[in-house]
Amino acid sequence: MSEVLVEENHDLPIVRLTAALRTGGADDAPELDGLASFATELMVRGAAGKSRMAIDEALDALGAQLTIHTHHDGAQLELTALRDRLDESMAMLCDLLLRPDFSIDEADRLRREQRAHLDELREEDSLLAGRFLSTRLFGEHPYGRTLTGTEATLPRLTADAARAWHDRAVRAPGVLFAFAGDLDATVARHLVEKYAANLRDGDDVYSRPFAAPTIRTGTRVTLVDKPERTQSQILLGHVAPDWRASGFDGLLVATHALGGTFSSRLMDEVRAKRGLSYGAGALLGQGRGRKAFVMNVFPSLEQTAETLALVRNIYNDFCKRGITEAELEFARVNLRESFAFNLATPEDRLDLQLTGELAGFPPGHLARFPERMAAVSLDVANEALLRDMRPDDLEIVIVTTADELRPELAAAGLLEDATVEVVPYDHD
Amino acid sequence: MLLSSEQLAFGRLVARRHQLDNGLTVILLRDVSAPVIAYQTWFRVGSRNEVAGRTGIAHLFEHLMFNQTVNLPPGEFDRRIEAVGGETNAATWVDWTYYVTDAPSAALSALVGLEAERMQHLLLGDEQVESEREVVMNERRFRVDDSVDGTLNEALYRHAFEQHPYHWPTIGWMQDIEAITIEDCRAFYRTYYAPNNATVVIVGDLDEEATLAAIRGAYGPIARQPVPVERIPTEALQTEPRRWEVHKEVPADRVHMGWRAVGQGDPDHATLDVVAELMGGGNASRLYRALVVDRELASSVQASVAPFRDPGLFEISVALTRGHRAEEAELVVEALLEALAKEGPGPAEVDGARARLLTRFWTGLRPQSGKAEALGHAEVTLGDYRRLFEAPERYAKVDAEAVQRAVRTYLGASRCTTVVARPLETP
Repeated sequence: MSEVLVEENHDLPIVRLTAALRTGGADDAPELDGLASFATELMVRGAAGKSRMAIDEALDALGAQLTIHTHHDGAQLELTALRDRLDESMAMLCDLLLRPDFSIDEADRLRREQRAHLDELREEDSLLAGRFLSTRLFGEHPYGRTLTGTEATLPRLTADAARAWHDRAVRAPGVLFAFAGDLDATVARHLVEKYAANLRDGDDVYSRPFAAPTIRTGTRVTLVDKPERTQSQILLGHVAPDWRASGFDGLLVATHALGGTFSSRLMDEVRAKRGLSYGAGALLGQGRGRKAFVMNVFPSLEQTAETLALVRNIYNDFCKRGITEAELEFARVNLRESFAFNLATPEDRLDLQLTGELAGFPPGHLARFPERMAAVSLDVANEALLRDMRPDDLEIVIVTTADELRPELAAAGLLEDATVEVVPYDHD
Repeated sequence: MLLSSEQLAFGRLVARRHQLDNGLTVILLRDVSAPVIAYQTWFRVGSRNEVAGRTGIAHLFEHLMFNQTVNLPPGEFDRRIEAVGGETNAATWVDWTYYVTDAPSAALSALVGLEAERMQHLLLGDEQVESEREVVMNERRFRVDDSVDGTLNEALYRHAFEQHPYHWPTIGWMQDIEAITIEDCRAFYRTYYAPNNATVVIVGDLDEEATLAAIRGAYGPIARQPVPVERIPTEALQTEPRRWEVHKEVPADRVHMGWRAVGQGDPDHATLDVVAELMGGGNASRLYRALVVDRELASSVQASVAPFRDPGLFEISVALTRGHRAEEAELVVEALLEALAKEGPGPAEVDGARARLLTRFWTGLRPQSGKAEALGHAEVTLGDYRRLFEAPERYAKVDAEAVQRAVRTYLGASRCTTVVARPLETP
């Protein structure tokens, strides 16, 4: 039987049922970028002989909310339903998971929908910036996959490709069932035995970490050109160390001091003191493989050069001089104490376990987070900053109106010693 | 001294409302399922209380509340909350402004002191106002000027309302944000940030008696203030369709449609919630099926009814796919509404919509912050936190006939305002 996770809570009459897969968009072949997302979506558009319409109507009748998350390290089908519809909801979830039809008509239709969603995505400048940064940072590495697919790969996402993906992905070692809410472990296990007994066995091929990405050197500025912008969405980042690396916890604490709270260095300098951007933050990613360190700001077009110069200076100073004892203590305590929010609801507790499972963290790794943060010393944090962060090798992506901004950046000296590329915003 | 105490059964928990002598309302809900608390302060002031020429002041002021007080230097409010592992935020909308802190429960007494401090001792200087003005202008660029949906949503209310303050956006017109003075901000604080205009909602792992004692000690000395009686103009009934279009950087048409509906306290609000579910609430909904699945005219559809004190809008928005025009979607919307009015929905369709609304209602109440938000919103928007559970009771009473009547009453073509964004290339 597949692994079953349960978080029991009887305060409210609802249950969340999750089927999580250990494979996500990062496992897609480059020429099939977007396949995991495409296949999981197609799974709910015809299963066990029921048409898409019949499934939608059955979900409606159950009053259930179905959500599908596909990310780089995994994919999840989640059904939230009233407690008194639990049994029918689990039956439905397992039909979608185990017996998808992958009809050619629905695959054709989904491809057309995905193309329209690419259009919608391009309307959101922050999403657009994130998409460009990932592909720039990781290139052909698995974390360079877009998850949604591209104009070039969409024609290759077919019913046959989805069926082959399902055959590999939905096998016992790669599937986790997780339940949160108004039920207990006995009921949960019974439901899995009743409805998922015929889940096929297979090899655990998805728990391996990804190979390290190729790290490029030097700073590259990509201006993603979009007409009529009044502000610029700016992301700056580089590939981060692996969470398994020595000193990674020190980097987590230091990054939190740089841009993890309203009181952080970035928010204080960019927003509180100068009002340059509504938001300013920094995040250190972690997953099955090496992810990214990313900073973000979004100033007005007129203040873009000033803001970019400021953020680069702050980051240089952060990497070379490190954080202070006071910043360390503040970030450490905030991370340690705020961990309680990850445990606030049964869904939160379950999500924490699933995150750890899909990222390949060892047992107890996340549960020990408060103690790990408390143990970080100033020396560990600052040595890791000096060793692992790369202020001279930044990828900078700016969604902006390039004709207007480029001269401003050049005049401010921000393009010196940097490779500069201008790409249309609707370019993949 | 506490004047009164009432209670509301909240599943297996109990929410209790109290009031201090100075008029401060306090709602407490003990929920020990996690060692955290949600601490929210709701003020009965939003963009509805603004005047033309000073729109956006309620929202700008919300930003200023995080700055300096007599006893806290700039930024210290956030720092103290974050130093104990908490996180803080706020939101302003048409009818209210609320301040949110989620923190480990051990921080509760510190939060009481911090929140009482900024309710009575906020300092407003030129530097703070100018800095936050810049931040808010950047927020407006982000949420409205560079956002297609933000632009359309603002335009929809601007055209659907001509007299009522729902006409202007909560974030304010850019020229008004630029024009707000420090004197405006000081007057706003004195007028609306009074204990008798506020409700404190705390949900979480708390001791009710000790919490009340701490609140009494910290907030008790704050003086009650006269809050002006609202003089909100009545919006005349819309009798002709209205339309506005703009050209934006979009690959295909985007359309938002709105019909004047009812306030959230009106029994028909729940019926319109069900209508929104039937039209655009799921993949089996009528609009999704017609526009996205069957005709492939659109990539997404949404339907909702505004949860406002006064009648807001029943809204439908559609993102068209390339090569299709807004008018095609508008015709489908009109035809589907007509069919709903004439034939009504089937019983199974209504059952499904009600069940989905119930699932969403209960899911929203799961975290402490969700419980606090629901209680605060009911108290401020509906006038009584005990009305929170009216929604599920009302959903249960909605039937096909009620749906038909609501569509006929509120969603006629002559009451519709339509705003459209078209691609730049379109002449």
